[in-house]
Amino acid sequence: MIRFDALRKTFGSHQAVQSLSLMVCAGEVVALLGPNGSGKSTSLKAAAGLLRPSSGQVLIGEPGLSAMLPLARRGLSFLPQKVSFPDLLTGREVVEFYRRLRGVDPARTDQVLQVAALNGAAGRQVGTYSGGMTQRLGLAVAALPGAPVLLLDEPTSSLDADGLCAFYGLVEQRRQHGQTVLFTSHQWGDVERLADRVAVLVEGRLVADLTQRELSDRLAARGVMRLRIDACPAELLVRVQRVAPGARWALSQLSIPGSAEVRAAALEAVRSGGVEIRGIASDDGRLDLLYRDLAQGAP
Amino acid sequence: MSTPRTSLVLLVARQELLLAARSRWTQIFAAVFAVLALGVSASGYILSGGHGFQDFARTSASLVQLVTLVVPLAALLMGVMALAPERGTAELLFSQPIARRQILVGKLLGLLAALAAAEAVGFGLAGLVVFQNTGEDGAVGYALLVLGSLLLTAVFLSLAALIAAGAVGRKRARALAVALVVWFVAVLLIDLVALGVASLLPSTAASRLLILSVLLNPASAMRTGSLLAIEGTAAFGSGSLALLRFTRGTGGAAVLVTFSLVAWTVLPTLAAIRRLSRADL
Amino acid sequence: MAPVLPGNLEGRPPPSEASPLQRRIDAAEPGAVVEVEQGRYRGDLYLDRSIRLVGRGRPTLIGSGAGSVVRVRGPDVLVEGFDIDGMAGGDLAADSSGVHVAAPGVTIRNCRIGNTLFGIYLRESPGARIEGNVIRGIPGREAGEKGSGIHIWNTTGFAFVGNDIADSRDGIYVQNASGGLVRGNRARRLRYGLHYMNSDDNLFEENVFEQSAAGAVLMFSKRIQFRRNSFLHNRGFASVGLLFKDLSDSVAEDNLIADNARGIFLEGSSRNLFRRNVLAQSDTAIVLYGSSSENRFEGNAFIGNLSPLALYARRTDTKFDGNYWSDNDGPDLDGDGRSDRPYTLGSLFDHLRGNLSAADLMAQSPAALALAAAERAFPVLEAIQVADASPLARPPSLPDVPAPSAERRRLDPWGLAAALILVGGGLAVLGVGRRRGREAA
Repeated sequence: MIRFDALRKTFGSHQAVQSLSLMVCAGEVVALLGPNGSGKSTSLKAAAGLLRPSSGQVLIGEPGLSAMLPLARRGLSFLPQKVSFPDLLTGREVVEFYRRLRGVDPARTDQVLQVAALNGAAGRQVGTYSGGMTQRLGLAVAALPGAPVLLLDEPTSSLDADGLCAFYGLVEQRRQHGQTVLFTSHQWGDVERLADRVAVLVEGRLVADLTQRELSDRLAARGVMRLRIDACPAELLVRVQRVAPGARWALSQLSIPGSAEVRAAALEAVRSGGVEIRGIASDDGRLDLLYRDLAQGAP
Repeated sequence: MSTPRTSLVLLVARQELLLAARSRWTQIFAAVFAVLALGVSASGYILSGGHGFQDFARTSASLVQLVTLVVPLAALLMGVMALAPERGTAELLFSQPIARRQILVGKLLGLLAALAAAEAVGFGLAGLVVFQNTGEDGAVGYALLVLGSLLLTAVFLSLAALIAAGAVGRKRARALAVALVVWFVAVLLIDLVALGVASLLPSTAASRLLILSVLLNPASAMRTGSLLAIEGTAAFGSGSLALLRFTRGTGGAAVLVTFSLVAWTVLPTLAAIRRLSRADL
Repeated sequence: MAPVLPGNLEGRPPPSEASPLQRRIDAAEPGAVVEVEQGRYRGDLYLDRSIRLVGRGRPTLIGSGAGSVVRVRGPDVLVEGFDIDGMAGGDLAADSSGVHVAAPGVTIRNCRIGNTLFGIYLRESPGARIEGNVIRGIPGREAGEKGSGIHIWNTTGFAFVGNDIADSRDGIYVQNASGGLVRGNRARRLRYGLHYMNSDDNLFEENVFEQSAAGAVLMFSKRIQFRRNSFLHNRGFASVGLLFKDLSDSVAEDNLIADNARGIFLEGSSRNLFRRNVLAQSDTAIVLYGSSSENRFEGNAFIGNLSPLALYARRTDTKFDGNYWSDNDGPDLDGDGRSDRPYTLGSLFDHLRGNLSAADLMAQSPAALALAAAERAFPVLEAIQVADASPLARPPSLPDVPAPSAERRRLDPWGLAAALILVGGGLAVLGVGRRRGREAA
């Protein structure tokens, strides 16, 4: 379990995080979402004990210890955004070092190396690794102690296919073990696939804390369907606008914004009008627009 | 599954030693130091024109010069490089359940071991030359020189820790620059300034100023202490006597030099721990 | 350093203070040999005729404590093979000695003289020969309350050979005594090893003057020659290896002048030549006062001195030519064995040191080197330029100079073992990098 308690962090005059209160329970996988510079990494690093809160606190585990305490950090694993390792150590040496540091069973070394698909490269120095391999090694280290709280900062940003697979496996397994996972991401795909809940940060403020389902809906509601038709008689437009008020006709395209249901109804309306549909395209909503709207308090 | 604190420190120390031992910089330092030390000691005997007068005392004195120039530089640069890691490395390490001070102390110990080992090779090779030709009376002075060198390494590692505390990622370059400045100040500038100011003061005050600056500046303290140990009052002529009068004898001088070096080791380390504990990484 | 004038001449000891041997001497014919067997003879001796007093098995003469133990008043006396104990007695004003001589042609040989104010005192004793004696002063007594080891006054022609002197006031004191030879003596732990005035044309060879306030202090004399002597470890505050004051037309060749606070000190001394000497490890190799003139330094090796020259003058006509200076880094590109540019004695830093002794503490610091380098590039001092016009690029071979402390130069097995351990240990620690993470938990 992890609890942000009115966390505020300023760097000089810049307010990176403003009064963030958020709770992630055991067995929950929560994504921190937001545009660049919204305070996602700052929040996560505060949770990993790397940043000292300007005010408020981050509590880890059941009794709730401050993340600044080494004892509290026994209950968490943090994977930094651009994880790196001393070039001169082998992958195995890296894992061995952290295994000893965490006091974990020696057998875990081989297990996590295998999960991270690094057994072949474990004897090579990290300096020879590709970006994807380094990221996988980071995952291996994060997975090592099986800590109840897993904090991942942009875990998929430089992962290769092997790594993505290992990463999804890791998060799924954690969820099944009733552990807590908090990760940041830019990629809606990760969020959609993994997160139970999504917290949206914009300019250091928590602007939304929704289930993944709710957020999907909100995003979809910002979707647009574009139908290519030869012509759009006025009565057709009127009929469509009856079910989809935002529908517009322009440049031989009928654009229909709205949720999936709205779009389905509009499509039905066009069909029943007997117009031949030459092409159809559908976009989900753009995240940046959603952020903006959320920040402005729009539904 | 708790691991005792000391063993965590030792774990970090061993890791750092491993890294330092593999580092090209350590290897270069070890090689350069060995070549210079060997060169100084060999030339001391070979180039003395057969008078044997560049013998133990002066050879060791040349080694002292070498140590006071090279060791602080190596300790500062390698210390800063090792203690100001890349951001991604630092974030992973410092998010572990281990106190920052334990990481710092562990890394310092590992670095100290690596640098001491590199210096030991050089001192050993030089010693093989020196002890072919000198009686037992040199051994104590030589041992003190090695010890002094170790202390000096500790002093400048500790300063490196203070410089590097909290510097990760891009701040590294600045930390390295600061390290170079500190080296220049400690090795050269303080003495120059002290000499300059002293030349303007009346002689009692000037004398006191020079003696204080020699004791307070760790590089000078090590140089002075080692030379006094090796050569006795011959090291600085009447200056030695002025110093010994000030310190009330050789015992006092030894205590003050040791105190200076130990203080310069402990205080910057404590300050570095304090800075690091408060730093945002 | 006022001249010490001779005191009253001690005469025949009263019977209560006389040695039991006195009767045998009084009975001996001139020219006789008086052999003394092993034993301890208490009381003073008065030798007024030319006899040969020879100890067999090292008999000991123990003085009365009232004056000199052996008083030689007859010509051509020989005293040989005795241990002489002065009982720390006598009177400085009467020149009380182990052996006090006031007669020509006397030889004192192979005696061990200790616990006396003076060791051997020679007063107007031409042709004296002092050879192979070991002389010790009174332990623990202040220099001012003791006499010299060998003291000679107002004499022409003498030889001091192979004597060993320690713990007196001065080792050898020569006053108004000319035409002498001093060879192979060793003097240490004294005020001055050699104290000397108003005595011309003496020759000093292969002596060792060490561990004293000054090795040799010579004043008011001419035409002295020093060859192959060692002036070593004279290390006190303002100590000197070889001091000349008003000493002229003298030559010092092939001497070893090392580990002294100041190597050579010249005041009011002219036309002296210093040739092929080794001057090493001094705080200041040469101290030169403006009152000195026309001195020359040629072919000497200056090795490892903190500073080559302290000059107390606006200028000097002292000539330095073809010496070797170990801190001279001038190149020798034309390969003629001489540096291509003159070597300048004295730097900005030396100037500072001249005014402030604590500056010595930084004599071996990079700061001092930096000052010297900076000054070479930008001469800031209107410094008195003293230079060696053509310094040697390499140390000269000086085979006649005594080798320094040969007994110290030997292999140290423990040191070598420790050095090996250092190398091995260092390499082992650095070798942890080779073992690639294969350690068990």
